[in-house]
Amino acid sequence: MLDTLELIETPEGVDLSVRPAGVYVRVVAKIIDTLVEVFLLALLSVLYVRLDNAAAGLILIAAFVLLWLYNVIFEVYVGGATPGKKVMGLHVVYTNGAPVSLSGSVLRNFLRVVDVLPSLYALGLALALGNARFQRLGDMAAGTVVAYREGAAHDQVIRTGDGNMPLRVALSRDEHQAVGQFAERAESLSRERRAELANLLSPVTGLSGEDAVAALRAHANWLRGRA
Amino acid sequence: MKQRDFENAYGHTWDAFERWLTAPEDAKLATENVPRTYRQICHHLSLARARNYSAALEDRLNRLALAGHRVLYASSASGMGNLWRFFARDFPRSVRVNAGVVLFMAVLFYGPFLTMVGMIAVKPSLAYSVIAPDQASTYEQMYSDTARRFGARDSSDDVRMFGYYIFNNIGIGFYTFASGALLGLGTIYVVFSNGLVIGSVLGHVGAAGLGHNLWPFIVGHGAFELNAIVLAGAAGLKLGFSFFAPGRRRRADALRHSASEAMPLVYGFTTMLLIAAFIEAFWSSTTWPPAVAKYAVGAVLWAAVLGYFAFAGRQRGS
Repeated sequence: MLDTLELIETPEGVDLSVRPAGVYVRVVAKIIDTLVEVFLLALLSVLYVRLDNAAAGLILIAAFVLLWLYNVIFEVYVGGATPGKKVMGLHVVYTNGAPVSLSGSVLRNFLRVVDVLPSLYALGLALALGNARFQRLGDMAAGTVVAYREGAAHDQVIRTGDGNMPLRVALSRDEHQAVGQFAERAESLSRERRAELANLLSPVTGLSGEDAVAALRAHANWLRGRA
Repeated sequence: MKQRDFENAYGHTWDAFERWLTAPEDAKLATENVPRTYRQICHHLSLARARNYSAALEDRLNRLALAGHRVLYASSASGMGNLWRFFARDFPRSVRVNAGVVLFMAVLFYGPFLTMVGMIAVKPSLAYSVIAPDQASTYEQMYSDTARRFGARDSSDDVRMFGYYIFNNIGIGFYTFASGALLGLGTIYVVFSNGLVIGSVLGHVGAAGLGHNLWPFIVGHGAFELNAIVLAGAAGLKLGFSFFAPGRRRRADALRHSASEAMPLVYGFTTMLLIAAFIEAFWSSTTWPPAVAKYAVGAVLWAAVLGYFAFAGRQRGS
């Protein structure tokens, strides 16, 4: 219940999970974007002052695009993320996991006009905090969520040399995962700490200390099907 | 089946799918086999969960399935064919479907607009209750007989004014729409006050004896600009109204539903404001055509806009 995991039901009958991004990373992303926008706007205003009439008209159009469509252009045409979101590893998707389209992006970004009220995105912040998907008003209207881009995860290697030993008790899903992850991470723990953790399972392994750690590695190898 | 055997049996399928996602051209997996492979990976993900395979493997399969889901179930909107269909059918239909909200907004805008024009014609000093005296004299200069071009300061040329109209008018249009999400209050305020101010300015310039310059200027782009403000208001009010009258939906769902219904109006009024900016900068502001020509063009444009909303896209299957 405390985890921010959003399950997407698919026609294939399997639930896919996406992880909505919390308020902190999104604020950082917004600050980065604001810096980029302010820089570009400053550039445009320097040009506006120096250029003659006709070119100044084009600068005004560029400023309009920057102010209203900066987010939309990046979210729809550049991989679902503004530069700030990209840096923070986020992207905008519909709540069904599909990439955001023009209408969705226009809605969620135009409604910033309201989310920003009364100042500094106070309304958007309050709404996002009261919502399991961290949606501000614009996200609710568009049906979008800012989610973490899935990174590549790989199994860490379990230290070899402890063989393969069947486990004589049935494990629940969490216990199963716990044994595997302990074996993966044992090397990164201090000697005392990993012995302490392994000792918790002494009733099962019948061993303690470094022997218990080795036994758990062997069990993990057996669970994963490794030699 | 142990995780190791599972990975050995299907790892190459996952690798091929992963390669197809990043570089479809030089992947071994043929594109026509992608949906089948995607379903297979969904199946593998279920198995990985049911068999308690490692979290990393489950993560990887989830990531692959999610990426496949995005490719297969992405909304396939936009495109030039749709653009034609939008303006030939969807936009005018959407205006008619929302006729109630549109008419309400038309009254809210044209009501104070026409009231001010009429009242100031009778009692000119009323204009100063809405616009400041120094502003008022600026407007008089913009439409004076000696103006090189109407509606702008003399130093500005057409392209600059075009840019300005886009920056300012479309920005106001977007703001009018978006502020409706605040229970519709923002939209109602913006539309009403715009009607009041625009009506007062026009009434004042008219009362100052410059009507012969003003009305020919306004009539052309007004067909697009004034009605676009009404539509922006209607789109915004739809957002806010969903809060008060969500019908059988939860309020959050009602907001999403009416927001997506409002989008055709948003694309429509944006296009109308673009057209208005173009007409205003390159036709309305010119001083050489006789007033009759301006009135004639204006009448054609008003008839075109209103006729478009009334009749376009009514045929079945068009």
